[in-house]
Amino acid sequence: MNRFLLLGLALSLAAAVPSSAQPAPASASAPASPAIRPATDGKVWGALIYATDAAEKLTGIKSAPPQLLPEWDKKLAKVFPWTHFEIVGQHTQDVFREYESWVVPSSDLFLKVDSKGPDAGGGVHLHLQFWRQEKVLLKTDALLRPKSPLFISGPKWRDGQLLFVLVLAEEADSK
Amino acid sequence: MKTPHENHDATPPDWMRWLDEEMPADERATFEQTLAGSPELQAEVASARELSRLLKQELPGEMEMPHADFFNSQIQVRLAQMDQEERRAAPAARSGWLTWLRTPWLIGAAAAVLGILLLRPGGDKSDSQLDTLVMSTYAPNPKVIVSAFHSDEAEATVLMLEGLEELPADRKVVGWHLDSGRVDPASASTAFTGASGQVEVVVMRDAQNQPRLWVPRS
Repeated sequence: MNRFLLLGLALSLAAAVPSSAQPAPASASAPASPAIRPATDGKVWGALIYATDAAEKLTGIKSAPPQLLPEWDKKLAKVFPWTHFEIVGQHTQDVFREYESWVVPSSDLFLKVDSKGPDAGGGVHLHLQFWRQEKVLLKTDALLRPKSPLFISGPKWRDGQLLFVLVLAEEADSK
Repeated sequence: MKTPHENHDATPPDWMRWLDEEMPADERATFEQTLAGSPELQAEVASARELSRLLKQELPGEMEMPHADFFNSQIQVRLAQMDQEERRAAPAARSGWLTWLRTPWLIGAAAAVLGILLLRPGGDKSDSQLDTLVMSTYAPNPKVIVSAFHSDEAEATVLMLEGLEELPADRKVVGWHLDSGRVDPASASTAFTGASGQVEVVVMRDAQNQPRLWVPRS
């Protein structure tokens, strides 16, 4: 039987108890089965950002700067009242046409992405759900366009704030 | 907030119909008598006239509204939020004044005023056809207020969430660097690999249809 299915059954049974974000069936190994490669409506880059005024509070994570969003920290500084920005996690994800997609740069804040189809004028219509562990913070319908990022403000944390950034790759970038 | 000349049905306030010359003669005479004796009402009418004058002064007779789709969508989002907030605050007492704020006339005027701001020197130079648009927002937690706007300076669309519960300072926020996940339809799960090529996290649905993240190496 497919190892994913076994894992699914195990997690479904475990779910009878209210969850923490990271249930970890100790005996399960990493799923290795090649799953399907579904049709897509685009590709997105999502990142969890930590913003603060106190440089000493930064976590020290060294992330490669995103190619899709040049001067990402300068742009964030024009919207949010912080001076230091750090990419805590990042995730490049296909937007599946028929299945839900997840953009999970962290277990603390992540996005569920449902495609509602490409726009004739460019970009893709999306239904987004912004999750904080087991809770939906926000549901939104948006037309995401290339080179036009979506910034979402998250909760305050450690004298700063967590932010979420979502960018649509241009067709050439997504191939 | 002081709301002069409260009108609790869906019709426009009297002064608005008077300004628009939509009042029958007899009602007009009565209204003008009331107006003469009410400084508050006079102030309201003067304010509306000033807005009208500004619009006429700043806008040519005919013009194409720049970024109309973006404005309309953002205004509709804000109006939907106002509606939601109002329903939460006072489900039984719906003010005619606030009803009037939702009239198409005001949506048009608000869009025009925003247009004026953007037409001023230093205003928006971007093309809304290329901007990300937010069509609707909904925060299940009533304490969370969502606002959507576009920052020309940052060349970004912003969803600002106010009222979120703070994350505990001792919470260790762990980030990943993930590539596109692989879907397994049978178990409705998605496995994500990191730079090492190993599975870093699996996202699945539990019995309550909530997402559950399994981190193999934790």
